[in-house]
Amino acid sequence: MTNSAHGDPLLEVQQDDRNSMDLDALYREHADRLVHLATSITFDRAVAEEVVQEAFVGLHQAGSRVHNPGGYLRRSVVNLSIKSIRRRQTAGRYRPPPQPTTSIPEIDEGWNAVQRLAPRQRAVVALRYWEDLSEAEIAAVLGWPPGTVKSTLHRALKRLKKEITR
Amino acid sequence: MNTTPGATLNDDELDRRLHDIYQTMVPLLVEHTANDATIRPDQTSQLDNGSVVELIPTGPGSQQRARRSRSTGAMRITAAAAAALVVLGVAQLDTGPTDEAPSAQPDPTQSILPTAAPVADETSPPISVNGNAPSSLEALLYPAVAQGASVTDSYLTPAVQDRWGTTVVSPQGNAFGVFLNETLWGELPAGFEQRTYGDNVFAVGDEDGRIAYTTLRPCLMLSVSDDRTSTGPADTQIDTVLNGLVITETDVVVNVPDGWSSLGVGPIEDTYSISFDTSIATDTRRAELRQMLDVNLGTLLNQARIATITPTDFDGTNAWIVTGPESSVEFTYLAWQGDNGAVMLGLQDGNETELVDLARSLSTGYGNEWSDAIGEVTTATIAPNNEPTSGACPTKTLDVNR
Repeated sequence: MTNSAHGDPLLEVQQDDRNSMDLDALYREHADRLVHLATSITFDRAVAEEVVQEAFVGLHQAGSRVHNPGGYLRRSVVNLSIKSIRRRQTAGRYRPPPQPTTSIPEIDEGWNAVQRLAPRQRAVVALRYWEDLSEAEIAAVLGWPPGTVKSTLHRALKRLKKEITR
Repeated sequence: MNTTPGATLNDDELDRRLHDIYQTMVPLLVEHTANDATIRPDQTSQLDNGSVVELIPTGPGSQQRARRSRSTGAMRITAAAAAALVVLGVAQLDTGPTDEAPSAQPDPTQSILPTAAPVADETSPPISVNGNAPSSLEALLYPAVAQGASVTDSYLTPAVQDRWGTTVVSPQGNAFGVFLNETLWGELPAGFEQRTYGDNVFAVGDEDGRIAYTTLRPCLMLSVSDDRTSTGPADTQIDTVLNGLVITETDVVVNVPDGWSSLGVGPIEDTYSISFDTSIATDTRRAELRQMLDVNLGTLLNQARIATITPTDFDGTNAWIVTGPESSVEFTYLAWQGDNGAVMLGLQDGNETELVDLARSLSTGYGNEWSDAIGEVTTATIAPNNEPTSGACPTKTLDVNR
């Protein structure tokens, strides 16, 4: 029997299939990409690895209620990345690790600007330009209303436009 | 087409630039350690003669991008950059599987506000917008209406871009707000006295019952507020704040000495405010709740009036008891930093015990759950910045150095 959970396509209760998830296979399939995604938001590889691990723990705890593990993991990684940024910002004395530079002024200038975005803006911009998703796809990944994605992205791009020049 | 260096990018150019930035920097960052922070041109010159090369994007969105009309397909970067990426082996990293199951990372923070989106709440469907409800990702507190709290007013004060705020606290326990409007284009208030602090001239005067120190120049307004009701001419705390301000073309830095603290700094975001009546013992008292998502407490408090601020503990979270100036002394506030934003809870004639009890009674709502509980939310009207008559204002940031 399958019951949808609040209509979210990522979650469905499958009472007869609770132990069928192969976490090892999922980890092999998704971990690399998820670390890159988390890094694109947190700008910190070590934090990204923690985030991905936490997402897999969440998946394990959710068990086979998760109908779409890949989508579930991606949403969890984005949300946990946002949370990790806030947690570190509110810790007061946290300083992000030194960022790599490329000696390409256009890239370095732009990366500096991206780092100044608010956490949710960072997440949406990363999904747009790292994962290369459309606004509708970002909304689906995050479970946000499309209008929220649109306004968040708009504000982020408006800010970046002021800071990134030719 | 304008190709002048330093000129503003159009939408398509920004789109391509950001794509290039992410496809270059994310793989580099994944490989990066603190000791190899820079790729220098001299590392690359031996590997390429300077001709332009084409590098296939490494990001997961490469294939999707190739089929989009606004996309550039493959990313073109200079030979120096491409070679540099080769030097550091920045192809798509395969972190590889591990034999061990990932371990849980304990959350060191405690807060009445839930985190941005706990996994358990991922089941929330997209909300139907009721008034100005927050998105399903944003958790907001609201009064315990089921236990008799009565909402009298609720409103959203929208964020206006380019406004920043912070609050610094002196060793004597006095709070000073520093507010930056990056692009304000206006004039100093008439009749204010001019004083010089460090390299900056401030207009000093009474502003709604508090002393405001304002410097206004093209593309920048910086204001330091002092809500203390009685400060003599020998007071050195405000001097410390004002003399420590360093203003450049792109940054404003608040330098404060040892012993001072910062409650955080950042852009001012939407403020959600709820006024309500609540029962305390046999009394009915007025209360108010203010929340700002994605900010530090210093940013929220920057938008409040603070006469005194005293550190306290709220269920394991660092918190502050805040009183306003004489004009609003009847309210006492409990302010704290949650995982996803900052909160101020005020109570008429409240003491700390009553405030903590009231804070514990608050409910948390996502999306329409929140707006359904409190009713229609009014959106406040905020005047946007005046646009400069010519030229663009360089973006600035506000930071605290202590």
